[in-house]
Amino acid sequence: MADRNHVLRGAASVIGVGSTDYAALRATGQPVAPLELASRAIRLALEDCQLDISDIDGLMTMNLLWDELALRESMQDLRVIAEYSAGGRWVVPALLQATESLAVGSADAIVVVLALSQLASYADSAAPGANTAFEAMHATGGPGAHSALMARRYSHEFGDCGAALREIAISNRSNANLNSRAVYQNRITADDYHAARYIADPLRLFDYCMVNDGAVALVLSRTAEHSAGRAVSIGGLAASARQGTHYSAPDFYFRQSQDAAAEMFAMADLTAADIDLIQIYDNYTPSVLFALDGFGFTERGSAGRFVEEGNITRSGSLPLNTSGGHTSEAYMQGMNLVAEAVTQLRGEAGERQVAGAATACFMCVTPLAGGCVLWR
Amino acid sequence: MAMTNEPGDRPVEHDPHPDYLPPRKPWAEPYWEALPDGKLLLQHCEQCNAFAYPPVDERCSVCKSPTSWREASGQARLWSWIVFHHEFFAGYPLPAPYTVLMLELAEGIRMLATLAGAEPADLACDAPMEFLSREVAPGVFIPGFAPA
Ligand SMILES: [Zn+2]
Repeated sequence: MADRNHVLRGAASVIGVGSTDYAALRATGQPVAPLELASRAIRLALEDCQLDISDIDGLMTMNLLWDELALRESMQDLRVIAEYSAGGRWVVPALLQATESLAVGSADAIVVVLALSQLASYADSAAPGANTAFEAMHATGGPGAHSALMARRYSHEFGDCGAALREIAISNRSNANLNSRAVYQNRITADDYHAARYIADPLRLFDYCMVNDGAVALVLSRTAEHSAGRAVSIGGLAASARQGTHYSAPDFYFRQSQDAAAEMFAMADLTAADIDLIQIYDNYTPSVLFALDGFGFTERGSAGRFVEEGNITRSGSLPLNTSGGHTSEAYMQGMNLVAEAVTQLRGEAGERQVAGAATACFMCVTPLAGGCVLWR
Repeated sequence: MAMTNEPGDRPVEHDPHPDYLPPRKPWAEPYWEALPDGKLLLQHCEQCNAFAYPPVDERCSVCKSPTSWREASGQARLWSWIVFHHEFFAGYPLPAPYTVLMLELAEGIRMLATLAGAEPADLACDAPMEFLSREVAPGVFIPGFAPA
């Protein structure tokens, strides 16, 4: 393991980032095909790192058929290929596969791309096998309902987290207010939050991610060949899965998060205290609390108080989801959060720039938990 | 599907297997046949004593031995619950607000069920609950639980 950590620590860098303009896509009201969205994001990412499509020899897709995309983009001689059914829980495994491929020379420049479009249908209830059908007879189902179950339980075990969830939603929107690409840029108040309808009580509208069109592409290459310039390195990353019958877990995914965190921080040779800003896969606001506890940014059960004390705002000790997260910027299943981490570490986040940000951590906490430390 | 449509009446559907129920599988029939009698049947592994829910047509997930059906104690602890104030699923017979429970059965497994014969105000995490089959449409029963 020590060897592996040494080989992978900082070996790969994100050298190019391309994101579609989510606000503009929403404003047109015209859904765009996933391949077209992916194509736009890839073009932007290649421009960003000044590579040509012919330089790319690795392709990892999410919600996209890799062969259709490769054909459309005339990608030839691909040496590393992977097709993930979604982003979210697959983001860290994909980045890990890309990092390993680059570290050992299986590929030299890899595109990781996700697209989501209302023109496509996505069958991903996250409930394994027959259980999906057994949720439907109670007119419930899917991760959003399970997250609400976990939120109530978390409050029971660790004290009411309702105010913390509200503050996450408000902070996300406040960050999106400084992001011209964000779908929802208008600030919200505590009154707005409480006036919004329940989706699954105790969670309300602003606790939930949106559904929107867009795409994100990252170009990864070996750090050694891109040490100058705007490259942002992947310092350490790890995933850990504990699949259960239900999407909700009695321990809020604590064990797999702990396992992933231990491996990630060991590889990066850092601790949670060394991280300047965090990006958490907030499909629903409670996920933020589970990630803070699970990855050791807070003592178990104290994430709610940590949030209520204002630590996760842009001016707090650990700014969270600085582009607006999945509830306000876009639901690009974690990939927009990784893109934002890179933008912040490059110091290119404009009005929403976190001063002096040198390290960031992306986390996604679901039955399959994963984390990734990035640094400049 | 049998349907009566008396003049001036709202059509009353008697669909023994509406869309919101899981597809009927032969190996899960004992489960469905027990619900109208107010009984909850679970698959049980004689070898390692594990219970399974929802019904699986495979062998015990723990030790791979064959399973047999056993009537559950009906005793559970309430892990959490959610209330749907709006109807998200067309054709579902229970009107909003309706309540969905996550239970920890005495048999050691977790189970989703519908609140039966009580209001959300009656609920508390970790409270003891007991099984109550709930008829949500004529002849259609789903598992429910009520405070014990
Ligand atoms: Zn067994």
